[in-house]
Amino acid sequence: MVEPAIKIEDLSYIYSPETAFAYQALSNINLTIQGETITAVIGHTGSGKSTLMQLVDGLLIPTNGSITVGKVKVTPNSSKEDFAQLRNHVGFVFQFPESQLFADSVIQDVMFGPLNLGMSENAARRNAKEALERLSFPTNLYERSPFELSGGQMRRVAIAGVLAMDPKILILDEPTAGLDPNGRKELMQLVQQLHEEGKTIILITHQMEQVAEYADQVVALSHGQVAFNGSPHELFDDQSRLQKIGLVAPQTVRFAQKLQEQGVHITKLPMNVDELAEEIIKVKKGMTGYGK
Amino acid sequence: MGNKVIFGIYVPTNSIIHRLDPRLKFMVCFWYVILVFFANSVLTNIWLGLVLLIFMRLSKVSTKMYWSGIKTLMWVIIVTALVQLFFSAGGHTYWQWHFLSITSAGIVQSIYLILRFAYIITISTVLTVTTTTLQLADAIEHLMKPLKYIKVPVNQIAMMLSIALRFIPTIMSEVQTIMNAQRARGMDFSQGNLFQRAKKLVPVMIPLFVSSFKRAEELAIAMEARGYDPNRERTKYRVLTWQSRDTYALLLVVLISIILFALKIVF
Amino acid sequence: MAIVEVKGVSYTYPGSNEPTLNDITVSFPTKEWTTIIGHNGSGKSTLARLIDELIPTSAGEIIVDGVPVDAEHVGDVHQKIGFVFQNPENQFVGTTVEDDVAFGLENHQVPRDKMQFRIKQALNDVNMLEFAKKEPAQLSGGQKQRVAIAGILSLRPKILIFDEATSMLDPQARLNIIQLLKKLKVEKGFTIIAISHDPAEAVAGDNVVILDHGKIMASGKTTDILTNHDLMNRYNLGLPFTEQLKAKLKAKGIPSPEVYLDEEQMIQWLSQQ
Repeated sequence: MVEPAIKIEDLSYIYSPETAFAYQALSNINLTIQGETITAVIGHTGSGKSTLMQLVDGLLIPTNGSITVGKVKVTPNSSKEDFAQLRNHVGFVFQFPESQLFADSVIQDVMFGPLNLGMSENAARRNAKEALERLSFPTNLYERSPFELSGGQMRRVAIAGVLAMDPKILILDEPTAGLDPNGRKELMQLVQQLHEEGKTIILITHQMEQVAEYADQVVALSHGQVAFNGSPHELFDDQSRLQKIGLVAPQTVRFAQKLQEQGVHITKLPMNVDELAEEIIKVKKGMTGYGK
Repeated sequence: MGNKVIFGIYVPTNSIIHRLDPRLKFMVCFWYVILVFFANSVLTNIWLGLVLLIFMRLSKVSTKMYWSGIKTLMWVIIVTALVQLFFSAGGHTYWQWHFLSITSAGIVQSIYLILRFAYIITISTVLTVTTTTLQLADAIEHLMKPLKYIKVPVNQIAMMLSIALRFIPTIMSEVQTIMNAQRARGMDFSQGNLFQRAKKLVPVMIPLFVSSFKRAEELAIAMEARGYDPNRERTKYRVLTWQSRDTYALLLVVLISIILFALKIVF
Repeated sequence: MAIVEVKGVSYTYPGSNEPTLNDITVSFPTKEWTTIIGHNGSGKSTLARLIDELIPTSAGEIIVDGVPVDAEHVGDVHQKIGFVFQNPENQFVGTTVEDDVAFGLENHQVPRDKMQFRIKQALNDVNMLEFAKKEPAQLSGGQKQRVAIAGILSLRPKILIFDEATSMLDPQARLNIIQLLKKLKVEKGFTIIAISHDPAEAVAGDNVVILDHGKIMASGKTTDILTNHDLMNRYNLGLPFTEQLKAKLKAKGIPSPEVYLDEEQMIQWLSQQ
């Protein structure tokens, strides 16, 4: 059993407190995220998921409560160093991360994070190369300006920039936004691969198909509170709860549910097209096979 | 909502002052500043202060808001007043040390100076808390119109102004996002000396420039697709209509000015 | 009848060695929805921009509703075509929703008394009337795209071009926009040209054109193109949901009808087996 990677206790956050524009983004969040899992964080725009992730990465100071990542624990009174520690453990790939590239060359840009952590030039370069290789980024483009690359390549460079810091926990905010189906597939395969290599992944997404296919745990936020915390299967099985949170089940689940309504007896909710096909085949074989 | 960027200090209390034509408010504010420089006696200053108090009351905006306007410029006011106090000559001399002196004229002058500052800041605050930036831009555009006759490209300037207004919140939230993204990559903006800190802006400014240029390009194409041609006349959707209450307000301001000059001449 | 005719059009960006579009001939039928699909960099956006004279045609000829697309007729062409771009933020010109819709009307010198009615009508058509006074910072991406659509509807075009207009939106907002387009097409008889890299979106249209490396690789009825798995896989375009399912079932020895089935039809077929 892997010990929890992240422990969040009674966490609240208020933007611009004590002003007329005060806004409570999170209230009383209690959450445990196990190590070496993929956790999907879902919810509408304004549900508080970005705020929560920024807190986990030590980019915001909590108004109340605490966050524990590994041996580091931060509270409203923690020192700047503690928050910096948190950032060292957690890597955060922002939405459309290609828009934060700035250096003269790809390799320089990827080295930026490691250098900020205080690594030597050589170590940083080694880490950067390793990260780029992991993303199968073409070697002959290392010295190119990042602004000459295609959108998909730029995104890989940006992700490499975070991976090169070798965080144990990786937060990805809508990593496939704006990519074509092929690019989406490749990127999710990469996420899967990183997970298999032992990283704890937190995936912020609107794509329920991704939640169904990849996540071990789902956390749904609504109005700054945890509306659901459990497995994707549990979440998508309960249609009334899903509706209450304002979510729509993935296409495969909806399809299976409609089939059930039509009297096709499907036993297990399919989390992807493969599983759906298998379920259908089970039913068909059961009807037409020798069992009949 | 992290991207809630507050721009300007507009306070929506929907008072009578809020409902006045922004052109009128803009001109009255301007005129009041001129009047402030005519007020050089106790009575005229009291009169202007009284008028200002009435404006503030009418705006239904809390005094705290006005006070915070003065507070931000407090040091400038104090330093200027001190200079006035120590360097003015004339009247009775109370204290002297080398070229520094405190005289009765100096005391009076520096009190007037403080009042002038306070009046000017407060009247500007009255304008900005009761008028949205959009209305202000409209007012400026309308008031600029006569400049067309001396070949100033008023329409283009107005379009630039309105687009700048439109994109300020967008750019502010973008700066926030980029800074957060770089902080997540281990950047610490709060450390180092001035030079080091300036250098740290590079990873923020470059992405910002790149995206701003891209944005400008996309915006230009989108505007063209919707038929924008900077050299052609356009009709206008947003119009300002002068109401009878604006005329009354104008008459009131004329009356205020007459009283001021009367006080100045008679006493 | 085709409302947009593209004949032998090539285009090379200044400073580039390779042509982005190479001898394209294609037509877009009146009052139908045609989706152009292809990878990033296949030249789809360039084609869309050429049709609206947002970049000048250098080789070949384009006719839009009987008008040749050239510098002389640019005003006419912009009047006939409404163009919605990818990034919701970067096409929102006005400081408020109603101002943004008014922007196009002001450009086309529509008198103010007519503007108010047209703005109201356009915002109503996209269900954004209650947001008329809102500022862009208060809107979601999907809402901004609705405003962009209202902006072009108010100009009463015949043709709507959507250049990956849903690619930056979340799935729910994307679905809403597609449903809105379907409704508008039926109610107002628009010709729609949609550019997308997602076959799931092509499902909504009548025709599909596949573009790859600046060339047209296939074009035809949506149902014919999307059921051609070899073709779709050759250009790495992915398949819409029901076709994915059909492919999986087929691989496991359950053949399904060759014709395109949407979700409802697929469920019906499966439950009748």
